[in-house]
Amino acid sequence: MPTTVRDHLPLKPVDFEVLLALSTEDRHGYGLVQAVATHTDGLITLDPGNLYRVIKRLLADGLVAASDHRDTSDDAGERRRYYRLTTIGGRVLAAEIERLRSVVRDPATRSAVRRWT
Amino acid sequence: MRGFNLLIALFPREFRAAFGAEMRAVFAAQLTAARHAGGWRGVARLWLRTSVRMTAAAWRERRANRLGHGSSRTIGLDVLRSDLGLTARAMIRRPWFAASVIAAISIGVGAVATIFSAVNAIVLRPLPGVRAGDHLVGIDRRSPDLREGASASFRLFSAMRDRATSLDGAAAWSRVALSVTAEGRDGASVAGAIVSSNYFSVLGVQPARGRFFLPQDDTRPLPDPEVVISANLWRTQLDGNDPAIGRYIRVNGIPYRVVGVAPSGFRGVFTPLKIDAWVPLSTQPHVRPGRDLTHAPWLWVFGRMRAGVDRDRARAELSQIIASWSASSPEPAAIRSYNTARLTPLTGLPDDARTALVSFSAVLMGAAGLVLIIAGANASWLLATRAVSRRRELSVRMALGAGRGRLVRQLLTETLVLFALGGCGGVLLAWLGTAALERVPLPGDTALSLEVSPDVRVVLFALAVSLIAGVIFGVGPALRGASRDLSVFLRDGAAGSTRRTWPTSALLIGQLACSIVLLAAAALFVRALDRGRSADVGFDTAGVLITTLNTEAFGYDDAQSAAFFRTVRQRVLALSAVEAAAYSTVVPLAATPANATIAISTGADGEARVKLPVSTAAVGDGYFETLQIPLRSGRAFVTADAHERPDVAVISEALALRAWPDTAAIGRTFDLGDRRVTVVGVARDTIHVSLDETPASFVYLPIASTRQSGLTLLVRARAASAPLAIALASEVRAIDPALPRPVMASLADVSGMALLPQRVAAFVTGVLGIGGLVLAAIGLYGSLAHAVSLRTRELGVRRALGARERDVVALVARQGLRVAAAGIVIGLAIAMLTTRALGTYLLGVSPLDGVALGAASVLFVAVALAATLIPARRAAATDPVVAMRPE
Repeated sequence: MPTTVRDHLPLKPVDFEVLLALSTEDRHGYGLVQAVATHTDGLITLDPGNLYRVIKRLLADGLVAASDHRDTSDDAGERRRYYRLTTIGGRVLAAEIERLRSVVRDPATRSAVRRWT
Repeated sequence: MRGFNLLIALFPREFRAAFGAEMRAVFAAQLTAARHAGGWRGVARLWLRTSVRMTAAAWRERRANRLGHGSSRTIGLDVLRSDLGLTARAMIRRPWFAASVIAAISIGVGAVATIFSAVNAIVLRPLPGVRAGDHLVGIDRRSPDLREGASASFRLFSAMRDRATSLDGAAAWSRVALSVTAEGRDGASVAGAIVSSNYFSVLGVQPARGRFFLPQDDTRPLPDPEVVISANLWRTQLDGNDPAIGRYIRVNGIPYRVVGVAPSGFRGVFTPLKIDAWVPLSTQPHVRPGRDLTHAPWLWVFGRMRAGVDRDRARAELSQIIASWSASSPEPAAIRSYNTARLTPLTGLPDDARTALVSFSAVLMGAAGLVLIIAGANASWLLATRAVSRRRELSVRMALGAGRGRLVRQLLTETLVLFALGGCGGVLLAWLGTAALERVPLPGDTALSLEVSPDVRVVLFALAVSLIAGVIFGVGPALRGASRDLSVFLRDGAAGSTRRTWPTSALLIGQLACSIVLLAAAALFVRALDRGRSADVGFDTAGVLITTLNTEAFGYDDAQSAAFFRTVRQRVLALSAVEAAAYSTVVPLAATPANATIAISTGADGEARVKLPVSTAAVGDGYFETLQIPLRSGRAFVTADAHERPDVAVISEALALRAWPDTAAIGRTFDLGDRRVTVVGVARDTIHVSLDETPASFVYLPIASTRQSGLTLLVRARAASAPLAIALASEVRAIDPALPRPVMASLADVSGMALLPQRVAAFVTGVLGIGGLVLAAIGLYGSLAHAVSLRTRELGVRRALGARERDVVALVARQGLRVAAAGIVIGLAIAMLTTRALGTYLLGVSPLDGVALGAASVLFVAVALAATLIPARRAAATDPVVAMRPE
């Protein structure tokens, strides 16, 4: 069981997107699918099986948790479980974003981008 | 959503419990979104994508679970490998045990696989030697209810060939009798086929040498007629020489150019018929002068389905072609009403023969299945005994930490390996069995032969059967072997219970009952065979030789034929060994007579007319004398009838009674077709088609009143017939040395063909019955011997306490005989219920025939007594002192 933030890095792209989607608000499963699809411009469309494999893993790692949130405007709200980012989840997400930022800032990365675009 | 539940079911249980409902909710939302965005296409795309990904996800989830619990895939393989290793060691340690199980299963699977092999060859296997045989269909022209049908005429065939878009091609053929003479050799009579020029290309056969027929107008005779010969004929008549291509051989008296040799595996469209030469349809005026290439119905048609076309569509299209063609054809109305196509897979037999063979094979398959049950029960008992005697080993392994599942798995592996090896043995037995079946000589038509050896399908079938048997008969013993109370055995070291548990008794009784059913079936078939042999057929077959002379195949015209037949009979009658000789168009009990309807005028004014169905045959001068069919009244035919009074008939007694019950039939008349025929004689009833028929209404007509090219010569000999056969053949050849040597057969042999189903069934069920009885007896013997060995000490105590030898024998024997009695009662009950299914093959023997059931019971009781008394006596003979000595 990883204990420090660093042990969780680097995040898998799907995990990263799910955590990112939960960083703005608590979401239920289909909300996650929609948010991830929108944010990645359709690059990542999750099927229920893989979505909950990811959620199971993130739950086990303590990065997300079930939320008390109930959306009363939604008829199906009673049956839908919402997920939220845990504190450690938020830290891991922030660390991952920082890691990516440093990758982008790296001069070697920049020259590579110049060469290939 | 039901489909999605299936996808969810792929996931491990915990995962389903935690997320199943949520996954459904997500998918429902996705479905709604997809429907809004992309309609049904969007839904279909979502389904496709989701099912693929969910399956992969489920697989990954399950694998992750296994890895999480520390037993990986490779560990699973290791377990299998170690199970197999243990199995091999166990088999080497107890070779006799392994050999017994394998032998029992081999016998059972071998019996089933042999019968399946025959069914496979006759019914299931596509034609040998053709390309993509499962696309070939036979096309029959039938009445709308499919009951009756007619062959196709050349014109109808052409219509189907040219118009059908659902076929890649249609070809036509018919059987012809050919005599083939290579230069410097004796002629040979062969079965030939006259075929449309595309016959080989539709079948997708490639020539072994030379070429097949070129695309040509089938109706225009070639200046230089061509023939394709079989690999067999090429070897035997042309020495297998390459230069044979382009050489000329005489076919029915005329030189034909050999253009090609068919591959050796190719047997034509009806596989039991060994075709040796193929000639194109354009040779019809020469080889089949009685037919034509316009409206005469004489051709069989088959086609190759176009890829992707289903059979219903092809049938609809062909029916439509036949119907529209029939509507405008100049055929008789009766034939025009046959306006429906029937399509059957082309597997080497005409459809009716196939149906008959399938129902007959089902009977044999039932018998073989009983043997398999006996063998399986036998093996099951052996395994159970073995498992009990291994309890100590298993309990040690359990004590050392092996889980129960692990033990069950090992026992199952052992069992399935044994059964699989038995399956291999079964294939070997089937291979030997079918080789024996193929060698069974078929009297009469020498062109008939069977090719029933096993192929891949049979091997797979045998292995599947043996593994299924393994699961059915092997799981029980494996589970009981690893039962939970194993530790008991480790503790007190008991040898195990001496009482037989009910599954063991049930297995024994089941085996014995099955063997009784088999024996009863075999006995019934033997009775039927016996009845068939002694049946009064109304004529005397002993000492009669027959040969069929087909003057069409000799290239004779009508006048030549008539002269030839007349001369042959004169010369044959001149032989001193010949008592009588006659021609006929039918061979009693071998060739089916023609059917017709006669009309009889009754009443004083001749107004009221009664129609009667009859069988007809044209027979020559001396027929009744040759077959010794007594005439009840009137006279037989004389030579003059043929020419001066062709419209006379001899009728059977049965017909005379039916038509004129009150008065004498002689001098009466009836209408047959457009002829008015006068009855000149009444002959005793005879049986013509099958032995269980009631005597038919039969009309004999004088031979020359119809045009004949193929006649059977029947010759009654005075003495031994073997030298006569040679003399007869040389008489025929003396008339025309170019003729092939006629094949003489004894009428007794040929008419014996009518009993072929009974003979085969009696033989097969007899062999299976004996095999089953031996297996069951071994089972009974083995179980008693085993029980005795477990009770040695108890029996020793009884002897020491004063029991006499006789008492011990009775004690053990009672145990065995109780099982045997239960077996015989249950077996006879099952036999009485099931032998009814044999009804049509029993020739009137009752399925409950006392003699047959009695004989089966007596044999069974004798064997059961032997199997019981031997271990009982051995038990009694044991010295009590030795028996009671501690281990």
